[in-house]
Amino acid sequence: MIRHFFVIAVAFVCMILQVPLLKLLGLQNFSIDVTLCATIFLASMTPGALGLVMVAILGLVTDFFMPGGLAGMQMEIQVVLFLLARSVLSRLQLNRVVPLMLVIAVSSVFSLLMFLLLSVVFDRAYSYSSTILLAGLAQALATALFAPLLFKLFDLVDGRSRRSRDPRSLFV
Amino acid sequence: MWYWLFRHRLSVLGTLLVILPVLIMYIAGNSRHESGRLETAVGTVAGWSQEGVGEAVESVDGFGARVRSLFSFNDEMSRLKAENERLLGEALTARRFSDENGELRRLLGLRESRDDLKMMPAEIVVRDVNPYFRIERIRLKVPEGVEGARPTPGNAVITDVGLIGRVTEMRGAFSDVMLVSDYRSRVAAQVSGTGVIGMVVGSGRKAGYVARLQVSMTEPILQKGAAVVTSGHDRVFPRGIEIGYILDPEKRKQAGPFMEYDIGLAVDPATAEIVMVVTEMAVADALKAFVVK
Repeated sequence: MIRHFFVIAVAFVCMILQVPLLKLLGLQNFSIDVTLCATIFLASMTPGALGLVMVAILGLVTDFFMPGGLAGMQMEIQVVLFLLARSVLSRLQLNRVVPLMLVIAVSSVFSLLMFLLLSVVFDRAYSYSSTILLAGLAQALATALFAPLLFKLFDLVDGRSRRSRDPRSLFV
Repeated sequence: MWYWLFRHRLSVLGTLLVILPVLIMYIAGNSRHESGRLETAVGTVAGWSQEGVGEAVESVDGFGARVRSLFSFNDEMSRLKAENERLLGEALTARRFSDENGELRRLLGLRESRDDLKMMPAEIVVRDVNPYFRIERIRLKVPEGVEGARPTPGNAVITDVGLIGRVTEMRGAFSDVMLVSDYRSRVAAQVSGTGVIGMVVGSGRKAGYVARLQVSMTEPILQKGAAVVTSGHDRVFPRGIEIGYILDPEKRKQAGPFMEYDIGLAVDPATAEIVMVVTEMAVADALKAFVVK
């Protein structure tokens, strides 16, 4: 259980570091969905009830962390994503870069669609904007590109906290 | 029963964790303004950590630059460079203080020029962290000896140059500010010197700080560069605060019953560090006199 907390803590630190680091690299117009990467990682490593609870906590933290959003939205998206991902990932190993990027890209698009759907249903201030769709797709692309690095980081933390390396780690 | 629950724990948990956020969203959607204790606590922690990490990354970057420069030359050159950098650092610090001083003076000027408004200063802590909303998180600087001066959702956030947005949520000492460029933002506006009134609607674009002005189809074509200011009709934003200027009237387009103009916004939030929150308008005091008790 502690290793899951480590993964969540790393995801949280990445979220905090994201804005200043991207600004430092001159990429302030991009953003990466670290929460989504952590969810997919947990779905592939811990597809059971514990993973689900951890993902729900991570989603809730993200909700409070991101200004402007509706509380509970990220929690819902991450939980649904986890439940879908665990059934898909039981047939697919994320031990290569390209499949991983594809899974993350598809998950990001799914997350964007869920965001739009939940906004329509629950957010009174919501009104459709094509800009949001484009920004979401840009985020999906950026997340897919950075996903191998984030997975490597999560893998490292997860492996360290288990005192042994996972043979399915990336770039093997 | 416990055995059944244990056996089907994933399904039970999955169902609960799908329903729970829906309930949270429903409650949050109906009361979006004041946060609960948990939201306030987590929001405050997030605000402090975001502010701290932002400052830490900036200092690490400065330190890294100094280390690189020290190792790139011989000892004497290194000493001279270090000396030079120290002086440059001092000059930059002086410049920063000077800029900050200038900004504070301008804000003080704004405060004096708009004595019809009660304002309090706030510092921008976080800029855009997600692709969907144009929200910034600010930390309020409550002046000493001022009791009860606390912004509420809906309060306008301005600088000496113009309008930034409005407070949408309070989380302890931190507030979320919806920028004028957020696609959900609506500001009652008028074109200065023409009497044309309309509504400024956020564009939602991350790159390029622009919005759209919607005016009636019957209005004459607006001039390029015409200033757009708040009209005060929405009773949210005080009258006469500059929002922006008309960009290119040739690119105007029809949107339903309105004519839409692109406007460049007066304030680029990326350059603003300290802002003023309008906690109360004098007109509000005047209106209280008419309240039937």
